[in-house]
Amino acid sequence: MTKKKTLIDVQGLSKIYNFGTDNEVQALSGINLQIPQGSVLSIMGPSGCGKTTLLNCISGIDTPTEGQITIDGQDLAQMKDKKRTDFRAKNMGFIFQTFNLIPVLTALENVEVPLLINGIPPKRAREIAEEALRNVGLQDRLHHRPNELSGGQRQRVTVARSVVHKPKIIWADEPTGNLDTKTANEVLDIILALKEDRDTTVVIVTHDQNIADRTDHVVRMDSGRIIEA
Amino acid sequence: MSILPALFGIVITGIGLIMYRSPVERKMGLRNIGRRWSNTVMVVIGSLIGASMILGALTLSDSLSYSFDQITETEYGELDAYIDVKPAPDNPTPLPTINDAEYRELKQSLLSQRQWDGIQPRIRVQISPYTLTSDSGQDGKLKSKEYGLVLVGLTQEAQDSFGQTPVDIDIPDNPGEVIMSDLLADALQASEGDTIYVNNFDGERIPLTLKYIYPENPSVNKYKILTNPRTLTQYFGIPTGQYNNILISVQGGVAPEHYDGKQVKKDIESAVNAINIPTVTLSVREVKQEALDGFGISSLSIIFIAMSILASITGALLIVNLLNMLAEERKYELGVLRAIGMKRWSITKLFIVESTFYSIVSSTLGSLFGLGVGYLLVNILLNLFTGLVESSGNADIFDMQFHVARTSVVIAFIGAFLINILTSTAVSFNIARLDIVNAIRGLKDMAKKRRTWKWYLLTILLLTLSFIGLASVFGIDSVRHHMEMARTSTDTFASLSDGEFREKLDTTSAYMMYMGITLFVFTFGLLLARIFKTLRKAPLGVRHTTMQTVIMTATASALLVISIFMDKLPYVGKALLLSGSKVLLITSSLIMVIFTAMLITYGIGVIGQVMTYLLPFRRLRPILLTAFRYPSANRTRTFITLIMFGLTVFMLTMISIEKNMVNDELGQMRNATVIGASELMIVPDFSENERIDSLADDIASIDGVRQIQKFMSMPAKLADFKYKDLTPTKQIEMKNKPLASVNADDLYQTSLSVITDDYAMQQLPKLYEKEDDTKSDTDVYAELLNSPGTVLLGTDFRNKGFSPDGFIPPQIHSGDELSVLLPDGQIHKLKVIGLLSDEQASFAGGDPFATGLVISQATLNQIYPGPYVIPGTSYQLLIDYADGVDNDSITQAIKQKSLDYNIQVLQDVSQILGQVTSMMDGLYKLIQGFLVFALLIGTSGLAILMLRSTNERRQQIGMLRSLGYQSGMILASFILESSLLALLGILIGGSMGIFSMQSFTRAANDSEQTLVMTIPWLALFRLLVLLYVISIFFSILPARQASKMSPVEATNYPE
Repeated sequence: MTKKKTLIDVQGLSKIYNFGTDNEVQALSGINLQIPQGSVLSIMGPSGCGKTTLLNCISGIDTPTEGQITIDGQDLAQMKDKKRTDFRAKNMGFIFQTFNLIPVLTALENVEVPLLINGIPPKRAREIAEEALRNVGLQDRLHHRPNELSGGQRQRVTVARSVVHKPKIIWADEPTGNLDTKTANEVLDIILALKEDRDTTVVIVTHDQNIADRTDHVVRMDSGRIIEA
Repeated sequence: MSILPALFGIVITGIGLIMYRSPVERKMGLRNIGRRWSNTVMVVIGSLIGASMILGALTLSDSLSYSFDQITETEYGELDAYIDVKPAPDNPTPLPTINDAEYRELKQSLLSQRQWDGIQPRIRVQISPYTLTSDSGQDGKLKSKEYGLVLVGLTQEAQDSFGQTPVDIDIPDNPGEVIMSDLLADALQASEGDTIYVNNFDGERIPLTLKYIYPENPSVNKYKILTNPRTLTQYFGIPTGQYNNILISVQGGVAPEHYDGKQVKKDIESAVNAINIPTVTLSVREVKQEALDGFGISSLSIIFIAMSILASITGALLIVNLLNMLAEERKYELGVLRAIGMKRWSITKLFIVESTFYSIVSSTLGSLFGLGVGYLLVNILLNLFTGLVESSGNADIFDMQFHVARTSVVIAFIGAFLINILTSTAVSFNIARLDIVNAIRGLKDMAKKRRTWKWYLLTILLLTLSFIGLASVFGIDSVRHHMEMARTSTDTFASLSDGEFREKLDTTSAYMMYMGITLFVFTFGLLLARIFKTLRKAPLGVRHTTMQTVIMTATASALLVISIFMDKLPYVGKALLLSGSKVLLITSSLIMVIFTAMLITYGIGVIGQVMTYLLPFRRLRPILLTAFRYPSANRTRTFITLIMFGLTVFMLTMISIEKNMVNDELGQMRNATVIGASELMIVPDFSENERIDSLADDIASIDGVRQIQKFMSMPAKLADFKYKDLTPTKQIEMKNKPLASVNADDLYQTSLSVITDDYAMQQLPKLYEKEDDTKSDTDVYAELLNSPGTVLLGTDFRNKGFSPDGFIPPQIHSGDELSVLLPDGQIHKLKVIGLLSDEQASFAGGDPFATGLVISQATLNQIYPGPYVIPGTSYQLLIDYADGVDNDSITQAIKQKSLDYNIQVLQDVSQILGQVTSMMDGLYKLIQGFLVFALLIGTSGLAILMLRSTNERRQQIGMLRSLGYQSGMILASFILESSLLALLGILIGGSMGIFSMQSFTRAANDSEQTLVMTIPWLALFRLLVLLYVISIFFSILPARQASKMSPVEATNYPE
């Protein structure tokens, strides 16, 4: 695990919801984790163990109560929102269980969004987005809206959106949770294939042992702590 | 009115049954209320504004009615009607009267009609100018009389029965003694014991003693001097037992439930028609109803009520939007409820229970606020009137009192409640039709393509409606024929005068034409869209949705074009100018706004696409992409929001343009240097010609007077002429209902007015029709002046009860000869060479000769050389001042000159125009202010929409933030989205308001009236920018809320 350069380094990460109130919930407690560049890591554990919270915190979409998160040498926790947002836009892609596509945009436009945010000229963005959708086998669904696509197709759009701007890291929260086994495997194949091509680091939160079996590393959690890494 | 409580009872009973028999739905529905209080507050606020506006408008109407009722009651007391004794056309006399025997006959005839509370005769002398001096004999108290003073000779009994003052008054016993009100005495600087001089019919000054002064209510017509009838006998030569005025009392009060003015008039007219007194004409005048009608309460109230209805529609639309959003938010749970066996009706009941709470709270609060709104309106209006009265220097103060009728509160509460609950129920039915699977999976309901029996039923309904639309257009002639037949063969329309009937005929035709075409195009479009939707394969290889968009866009465009150019449709252009066409105007306005909103809703995707790719800022691209795409994806709510905005802006635009046009017209009159818009107008009562000529010469010699023109008008009658529809035979044909509201004889009465040569050739008053169309107006006037025996018809010949549509009655044509009976009993033949245009009779700036028959001085000299000591003859001197002079001092000088000649009435046109301008300006401001309430619904509706959107899009916003959208980008995206909606709403309302006014102006101009539409671009622009800024201001809160959302919301799944 340490042979490759460490891309993500998490030290003493804690997350307490309703901090400072009588209703405190300790979601994460003293998490230490290093993830090498180009690796695929899965986080497993029972429901409510803090998997998604961990992913949210280390991906920078949520802020930890304590601890340090360093990605590619930059301390994410110390960044201001604007900078952290820029950092996400350039370096990260997201895949969520519920797809989280923008329902009013077509598949192509959904995939274009990260490119446009990164200032890619619209014409070029369109070409790249089309290419990304072709890569996930949706070349004939470019102008369909999410509600006109099946679950598997939607997740492929999400995958295309997560990789279209060539991020260093892809965060996937239960990416196959809403899919049947066959489709789930197909989607995972795509993610892993992209990782091979681009040396992207992939972090997957999952319940599915089959998926975990296909990743380089597995982290198991329980009650907000890592119990096996 | 009784239908509302009945409907309320039915609805409440239905809701009660639901609550009682459906405990599950009741519990869930009630719990939903408190589930998200922000929702509850928004729904309540949105719908209470409509209720407030309804009650505000009704309160204003109530207060006006109540105040005018009070004034009328105080003014007339027990008096309900007069019978005026007027000279018979062939028996001119300065003071026509009936004698005791004739009075008794008249009274008997009246009593045979109904039991009156009282009938009393009295003599009423219209006083010629008077002067007033004190006991000391000094003439320092001389004052010009500028009022229509009357000297009333009445018995103590008549005073007791018909007293119009708040105190008991003793009519002086001695002849030569008079009494007057304190207000009149103040105005005249008179004291008890003073001698006043009143002119008799020979112009002699008769001294009378002011016995005492009594206190008077300020609202009452105080310009009366009361005296014993013997004064009139002794000093004015009127024999005892002669009367010229019969007072009649029906029963006290003018409240509609107690009093029917029209029926009173009918009864008295029947009594008058039953007797024959050949020496005089008896003219019936019902005073209270006429006074109330004259106040014009209804037209002012209708404006506010129409606006409040509009606001209620906007409020209802807001409810539709909010409930749809609530349903969208709860889609998942509704889907689950359906999945586990809850019926559609139960889902509907859930929402009904919830909406009942919203409706009751909003209607109650709305009614309370409405009282406040009404109070505010009444006070603003009172200030407006008071300001106007003070500026005019008139001591009269309109005592407007705040008053709310119980029925108004009931109407507002129940009306608002029903609008809310019925709208909610309709929306709930639609919500309950959700697709279970899609709801659970969070997908949009896909279009169903199955052809079920409902599909066929709706298709047949659309086909039928299309057919009805077509049938309306092609059936107009048949309906007109049917109506004409009905008028002559049945009682239908019998109560209408011929003019009213023609107006009904034309407005009905216009409705059938416009609504028929609209219905046909709309339902045909829907039908096509429906059929294409269910086709297995859409034609031309396009997608079903695209095909539907194309069809509906084409339909909306067609309807828009039809509405914008509705004045070009047969019948419609003409009907637009009729007073009965208000509903047509409102309907077409609604259609215009709705279909523009529809057009834009369908095209908003394209608009967004174009803007996204046209704007050069690359960094803006992702913001634009989301900002413009949401409105196009959520068509229903976009459509409703645009209508909400569009409707209110439409009204504001129309009002602004109309205000501008009225101000322009009044301004032109004020600033005109031509004599037609004189600074001063003198309207003496009948008098001898020489006196007026001499006065005119004296006035012309005053420094600063540029021009003076004298116009004379005398009574005349059309002889040997019968209007086709108003012959006695025609009245008999109307079965048992004579045309009581039309006195055919009155229509033969007209006047003969003389236009001066200078005025005719300088001003060339506009003509509507000429005997020979190839002639110029100058030629026609040259003929009028140079060929004695020629006549122009005045404007009233276009609309005198029998021809409101702007056409000369078919019996009179240019080129015809008219027989005119003059007061000397001679009949003269005059040749009609043209008809004056309507605009010559416009307010204040109108020409003194605009009505009746217009002849030249040469013609008058030939047919009636004078002297003109004829009752009913009047003169008008139009006086024009030179530029840059001191108007006030010249006016004073002219008044003094007039006084020397005992000429009494001076009318300062500039002052009147100034007052009218200020009054109109204030009224328009009030209307605009009232509309702001409606705008509140529009703007808050937009804010609520955006606020709901932030909640609805939580996950998407989180996702966008995760992907790298800065919070500022989310803020910008939301503000851009609301900007787009606000701007499009403003564009729709503004442009349609302008188009609608253009349509009206075109119709007016096509009908030969010259109406210039001037758009107050700057004022309009400022107004609309202000509206935009307010809308955006309201949208900042939701936009900020959205921008502050954490990216982690992406992983928060809906509750």
